[in-house]
Amino acid sequence: MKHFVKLTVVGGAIGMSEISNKTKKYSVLPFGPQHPVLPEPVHLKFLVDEEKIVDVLPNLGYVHRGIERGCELNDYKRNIYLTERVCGICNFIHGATYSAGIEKITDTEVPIRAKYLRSIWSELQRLQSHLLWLGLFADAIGFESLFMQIWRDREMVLSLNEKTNGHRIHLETNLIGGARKDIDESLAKVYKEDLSVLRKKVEALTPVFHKDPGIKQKCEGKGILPKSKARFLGAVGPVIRGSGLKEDIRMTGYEAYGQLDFEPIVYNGEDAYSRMLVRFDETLQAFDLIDKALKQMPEGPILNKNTKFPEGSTVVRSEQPRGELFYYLEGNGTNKLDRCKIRTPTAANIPPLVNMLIGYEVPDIPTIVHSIDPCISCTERIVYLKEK
Amino acid sequence: MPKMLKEVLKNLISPPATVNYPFVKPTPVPGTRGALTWDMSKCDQCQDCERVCPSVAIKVYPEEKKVEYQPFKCLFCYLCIDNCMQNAIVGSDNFKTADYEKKTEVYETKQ
Amino acid sequence: MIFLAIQHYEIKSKLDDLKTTPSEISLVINELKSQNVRFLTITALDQDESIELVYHFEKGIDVINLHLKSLKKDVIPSITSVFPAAFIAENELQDLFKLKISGINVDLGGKSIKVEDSPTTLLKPAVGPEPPILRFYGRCREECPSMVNAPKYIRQIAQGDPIAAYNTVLENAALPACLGRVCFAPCQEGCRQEKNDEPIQIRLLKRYAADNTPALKSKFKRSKSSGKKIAIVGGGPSGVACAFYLGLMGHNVTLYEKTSKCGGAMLWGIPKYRLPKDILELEVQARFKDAGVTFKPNSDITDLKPLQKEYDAIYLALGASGSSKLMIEGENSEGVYDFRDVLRMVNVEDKTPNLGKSVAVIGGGNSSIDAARVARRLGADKVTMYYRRTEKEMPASPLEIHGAIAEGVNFEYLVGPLKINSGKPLKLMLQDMKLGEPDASGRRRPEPIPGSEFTVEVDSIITAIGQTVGIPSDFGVQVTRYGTIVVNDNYETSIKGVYAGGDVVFGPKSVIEALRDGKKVASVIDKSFNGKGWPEPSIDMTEFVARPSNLDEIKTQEKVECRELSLEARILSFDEVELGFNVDEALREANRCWRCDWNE
Repeated sequence: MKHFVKLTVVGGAIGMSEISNKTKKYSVLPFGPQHPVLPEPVHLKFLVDEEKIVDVLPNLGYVHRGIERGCELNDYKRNIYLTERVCGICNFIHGATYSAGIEKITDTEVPIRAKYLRSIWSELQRLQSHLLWLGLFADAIGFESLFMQIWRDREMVLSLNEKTNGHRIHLETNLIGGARKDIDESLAKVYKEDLSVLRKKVEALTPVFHKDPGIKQKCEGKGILPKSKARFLGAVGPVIRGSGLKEDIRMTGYEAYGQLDFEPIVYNGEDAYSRMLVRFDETLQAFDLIDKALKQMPEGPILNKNTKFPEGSTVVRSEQPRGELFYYLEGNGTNKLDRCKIRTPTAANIPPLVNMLIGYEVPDIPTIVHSIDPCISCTERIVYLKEK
Repeated sequence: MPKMLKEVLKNLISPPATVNYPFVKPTPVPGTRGALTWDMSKCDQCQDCERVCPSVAIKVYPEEKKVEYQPFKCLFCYLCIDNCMQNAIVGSDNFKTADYEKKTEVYETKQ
Repeated sequence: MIFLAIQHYEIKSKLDDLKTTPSEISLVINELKSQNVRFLTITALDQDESIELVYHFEKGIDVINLHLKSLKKDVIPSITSVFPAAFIAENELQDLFKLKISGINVDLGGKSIKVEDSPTTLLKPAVGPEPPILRFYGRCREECPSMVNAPKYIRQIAQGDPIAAYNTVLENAALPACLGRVCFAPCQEGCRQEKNDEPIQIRLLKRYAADNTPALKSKFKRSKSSGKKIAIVGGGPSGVACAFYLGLMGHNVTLYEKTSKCGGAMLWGIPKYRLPKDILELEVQARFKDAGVTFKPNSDITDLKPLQKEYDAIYLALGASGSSKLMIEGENSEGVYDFRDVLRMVNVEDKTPNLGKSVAVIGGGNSSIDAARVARRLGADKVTMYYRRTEKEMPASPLEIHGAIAEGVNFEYLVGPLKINSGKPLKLMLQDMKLGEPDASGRRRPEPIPGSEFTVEVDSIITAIGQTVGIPSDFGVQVTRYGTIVVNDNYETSIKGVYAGGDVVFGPKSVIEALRDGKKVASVIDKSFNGKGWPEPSIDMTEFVARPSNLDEIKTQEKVECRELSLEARILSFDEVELGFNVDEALREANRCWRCDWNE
């Protein structure tokens, strides 16, 4: 079926193709929101010239849930549980970032042991998220048994979550001013044993991802994002680290990362293959960081409550598995917030995605869309309208 | 692909990795956050649990000495248990199973 | 000039906040681009008619915010010519805020969130169930008849500030040092820790706050004089409280008292081992000084008409001045005393009458227990109390009963007096009772068992079965058949301008209820002169009250016992039995509170 679409594109499209103020007949290929390859619903309209992609129009808004408005109706302390439900895979980091924001507004000092605990649990979430993505990527390529195996090994992390606080996915151990539960001696031993078993299994996959010619053929040279344009387009996370630039919010040393000697992992390939290698190496780096933190953690209290209501505004950022997470909080001296704005990394990665797709062919679409690790449900709690 | 062959052969002869639920119940891990009940002989209707609940699933009636709880809105975050000073809320190990209707549980004090 | 202004902003500290207008925004954006910043996102703050946009950029590791204010109907230029990655944020803003942004490079024309011909709209008003903002006063405060702010002053004591705690109590009750010794403490019965038998000892904390306030001085200042003159008849707790609050509100108050000292029932009725008389005198004089009250002792008022001519309003706080009779034969024999006479001799006139070795006390209220314990201190070896009903229906407070049992007073229940035969020793004939049907007040009526009479021989008998109210008949106010004055909801009697409150209206009740009536009448009188009255208790939601952070530890702490005089030392003298808290004990007890009025 051919659709005729007239678009007004001012100043040239993002992809810098040759459409500028001209109307020409192209086929439109709608991709999503329901597609067997996509994990989450996003709608992309491709302008196709017989198998070659000419332009892309993204259209979001399928999973809009109104969380930002919900953050205003609620008490500022109950909001931790609401912001943790923005994303299922990286939920702890949302809660920790929100708590860090409120602590900044109310001048509360977090004890050092609580900072180490938050870093340990963030790294655990990163581990679990990258393993999930590796499995999905293998499945998109066509490698189904690898997908099943990685997800079976990921279950160890989920049962470790359950031993920490009782739920498999939502670790609700954040409180404003510290942590809610502690890791004592016996639990630290369980952590070390389980993670060492898991590490051996992940290390056994290293030759598969680094050297296998089948995987290399599918994703090497696909979805190139040049180094000169990556920052200008606003890429974050492994997308920009796969293009040779050293950008990671963990280098600012928030929580306990300043004491853990952290160095980001950078590859220079600029294509989907190097992004995959960045994520795989980060998985192995997460094991090292957790071991180091468990050894270095000092004794002490884990909670130091706040002593006044939030008043004023602030900006907090932290590093999710997919990139840079941004929170803007504003309070007015009562127990309800005025505004809570969340911008997730996938929202920032969509313009580079549009740029990466132009010039490639239709069968490459699943590989390239997967290589930015889309988590569309995070993206969708956009600004609201308060009508009286 | 040839590097995966060892794993594939090992998986052929080992038992399956999944549990045949609902015919076989999985072993509960101690410390799981499961279903809640109220012990009304200790409750003194202070409404602390109602103020703290993130999903507004508890409603207390102080004059009639009654507590209404909606388990399908509950997140099982256990903030109510942490904040109850009379230890009147009791957690358990078994997770809440599915049901045909979203019922509200009502707890009353015996006179 | 714009470029210089921007360079000036850079020298400031980390979170730079720049401001701009729609016409200048393109210059500012180009300047920021030349400093190699990265675009993050756009936040919008909705203010009904106008909108405030905040653009966030990153430079190095800092974040720069750029504020833009404009009306919703004006056109805002887009920044996608410089930062093309902003088209997602600007499309969303256009959809959901109904803004007009011109020049976006990929303009979806208002269809970013909505599908093309969708019949529903996302622009719905944001309504839903509001989470409950419940906040109650705290059960201790709700149980107090006068709504003294108990949670707040316990918190102030825990922070180490007893003077502030004393002033918090003064807002609602005028005599904290006396209340800390004699109040029957309904607040402690409302405390949530009462279930485990360990309520917070709020009365003793009040006493600690009063003991540590030098000279019992308050922080209240008198308002400007209003020119009105008010007379108060009666120097009991109700009269003193009314004088204090009226004086603070600016009126000129004169207080008339029949005897030479103030205090009323607290002076003659409560023994010295519970309330030392010098503390009572000190506190009453401190209140008079704070409020500028003229005190006229030894003036017995029998006629209201001269007062009505001279003053603008009158308050009658006469108290309950009579006592009930037993109505049995031989009541007027020698050796049978009325409890008022015994207590007045001991408490006011400092005499020590000799009651003999064995004393019988008839009655079951707080006054009868006071009489019994006083009899023990006057040298009686065997003191027995006879009461018609059982221990459960006794109106005396449990603290008093404990104290009496510890000092060796015997209790006999379900016994009633029948006849007294005079002589030395006196012969008291009693008979057993049993409980029958409940009477009008709900308590079961005692009925005599025929044929169960017995006699005991005692040296003296004290009768203490109740107080009655009696006022001079020349006053001209309307009274009920019990002798109490009739008032309407505003405490006003049948004569306009004459108010009444306290025991003379409601019958013999406690000190705190008399203080409450004094405060309320002061408020009513001030409002009748077009004033604002004394402020009512209210809740402030913006005040931050923290919950104790170690909830698990606090649930298991035990209460701090107050030190008391030893048993041998108690009988020999009239010194104070309870010794109060010192600093450590008060801090420990105040930190045990669960802070039911938390708001964090």
